[in-house]
Amino acid sequence: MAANKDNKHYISRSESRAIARENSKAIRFYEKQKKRKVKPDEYTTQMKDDKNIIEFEDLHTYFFSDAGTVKAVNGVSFSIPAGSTVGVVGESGCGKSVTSLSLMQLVQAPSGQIVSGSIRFKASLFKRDEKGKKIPVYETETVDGEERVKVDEKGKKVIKKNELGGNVYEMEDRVVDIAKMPTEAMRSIRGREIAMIFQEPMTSLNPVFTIGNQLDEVGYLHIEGISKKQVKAHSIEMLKMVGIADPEGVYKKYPHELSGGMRQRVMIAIALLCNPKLIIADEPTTALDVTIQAQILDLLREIKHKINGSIMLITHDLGVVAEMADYVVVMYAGRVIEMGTAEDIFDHPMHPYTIGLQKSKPTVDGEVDKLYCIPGFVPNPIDMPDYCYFRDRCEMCKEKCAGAYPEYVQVSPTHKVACYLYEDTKEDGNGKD
Amino acid sequence: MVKYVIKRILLALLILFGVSVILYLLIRLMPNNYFVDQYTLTRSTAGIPAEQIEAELAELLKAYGLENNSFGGILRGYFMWLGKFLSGDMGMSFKYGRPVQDVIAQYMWLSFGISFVALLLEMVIAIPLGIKCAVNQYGKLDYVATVLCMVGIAFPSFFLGNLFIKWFAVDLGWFETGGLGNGFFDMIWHLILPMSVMVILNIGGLMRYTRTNTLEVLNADYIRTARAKGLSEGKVVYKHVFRNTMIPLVTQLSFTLPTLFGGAMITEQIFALPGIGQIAYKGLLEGDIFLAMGYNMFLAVLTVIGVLLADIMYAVVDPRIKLGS
Repeated sequence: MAANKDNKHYISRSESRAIARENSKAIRFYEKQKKRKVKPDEYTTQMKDDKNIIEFEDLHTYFFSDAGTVKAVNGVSFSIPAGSTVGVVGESGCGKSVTSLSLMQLVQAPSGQIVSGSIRFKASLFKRDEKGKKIPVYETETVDGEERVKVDEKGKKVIKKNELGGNVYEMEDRVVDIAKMPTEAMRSIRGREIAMIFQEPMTSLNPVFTIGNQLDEVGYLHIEGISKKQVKAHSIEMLKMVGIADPEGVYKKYPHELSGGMRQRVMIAIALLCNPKLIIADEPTTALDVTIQAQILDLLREIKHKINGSIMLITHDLGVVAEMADYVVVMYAGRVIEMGTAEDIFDHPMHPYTIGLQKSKPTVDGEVDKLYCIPGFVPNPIDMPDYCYFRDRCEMCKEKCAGAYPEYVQVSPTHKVACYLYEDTKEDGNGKD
Repeated sequence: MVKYVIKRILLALLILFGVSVILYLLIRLMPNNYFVDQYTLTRSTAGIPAEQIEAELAELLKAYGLENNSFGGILRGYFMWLGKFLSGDMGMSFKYGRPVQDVIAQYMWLSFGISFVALLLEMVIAIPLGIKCAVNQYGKLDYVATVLCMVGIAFPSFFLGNLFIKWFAVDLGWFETGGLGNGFFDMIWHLILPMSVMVILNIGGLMRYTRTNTLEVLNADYIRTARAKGLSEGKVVYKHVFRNTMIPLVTQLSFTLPTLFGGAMITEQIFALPGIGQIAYKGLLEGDIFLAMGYNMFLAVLTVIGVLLADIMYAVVDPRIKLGS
């Protein structure tokens, strides 16, 4: 018994059984939530700020593991303004990827589930009639000075086509809460409104289908009524757009015949296919070598202008964030500890963790024997302390830090930090000194 | 591709040569010989003295190359057999009094029919079930199917066969205990029990294999990509997952070629079905040298073809595999 008490990670048999019971109960509940059939009104909300396209508010995503509940994302709130690039930084396992996967509802189910909070997204969805069918827009013509719906030889109404050759449907703007959306409804947002680029281009493409097949698939899915020829032309157009020199050749190739950088370009082409409003790039350059990294970043910047959308860039490379991002969110152990504009974070880092991160960055000028390293480890995600998660590693820790988890302090209109050090600073800007 | 196949066939010939040497040696070293036993028995009951029988036997055995069991004698016998085998003559089955190739050709098709239908049923049941179980991992269906599969894998065929005969043929009287009956529909009626035994015994392995492979693919990065595109769960599973699960499955199924033609020795024996398995089993027990040799060579050829087929199929289903380079 004594040995059990010494070892914090020891789980007795009855405890383990209790965990398994709780887990299966929770998982069944959340899975049912995702499968339920509801009217869109139930997950429709309002944006807090109309300039944003995404607002995370108090998002909790947990993993129900055999050792206990892992709170991978533990109350994350931040927003992505339209047309901007938001960088999310933090060390491995701090919940960056899980936050982005929550946004796509792609957290590894059944153990991983969005437990509470909301993710508001300004979506443009298909308008649907009472039966849940999309409402097409018909071609009109003017006969004898009177406008009426065009009819083909068989007497069927002609559906209007867009420039790609797909049917035009009536659309509506609707703010949805992705955290409460059933998976079935989420499918029309995935790939069309929000697209994702993953970390590992080597394994992110299906090895048994050609590049063309994997691109076309998205076209067929989201552009209804498009013909085979038009899909192919559009896919090749996209490959050209991401800077592939021989798009027709690559279209016919299998993923294993391409290099890592080429595959990441293909992934970007897939993401771009439906002109998404938001592209989530989950460490898009981590698996690539440095020259290709720069090319891919340039490409991302370029396409952001072309599609006039936003990018949520997840990375642990501070250099990439400095180069790309307008806003930066710093995460630690499942929480946002500091956020602000890129300038705020890089020129005036406030949270001891952010300061530590900046210090540990290698510099070109000046010689150092050893890179700085933040002492200690991230706390065990299963039983998080109830005080500041960074306290045990913090060099500037105060007496007050033993208390409850610190609230956010607004140090400037754009800059927020969760730390007791800045408690007395007011919003009038003197926090920057 | 063609070059590769030719190379593989040449290699296969070498393998078959080795197999035939070992087989011939082993079969010749068996203590019993159907021909000698039967000849001695009939001649001695006819009242012929033992010395005369032996003299006659030596004369006859010489014609088959079986007279001398020393190393040199066996070697000589082997080359005699090989010469005939290469010219398409697999020797005489003493027990059935006909050429071995005729015996195999006659009984092979029943075994093939049974095994083929059983294999089709296995595939139709096990593969979709395996995928379903993997998709709903640790669900109710998964647990039930896993337990039943384990039961199926654990049963020996002679036990399950006899159990079925006891229950369905003897106690309930629904089916016949064995044999083939008269006419096509009667035959099918007779084959239901042996086929169910074969399906139940083999379904577990295939289902577990499918389940494991599907689970592995389901966790792959490209499946997450497919979901991120907005594809429906059905499309994800039956297009992206299934196509990848197929790769090891097709290879696995190509290996079943020998069992398809080779017959199920024990099941055929229990249900008294005149399939190639049972015929070969009896021949082997009673020392029918050429039948045993012919049957085993038949299996060896099928195995070699099965392996080659597996490699070719592998290249067909997986674009990453290129044969011959």
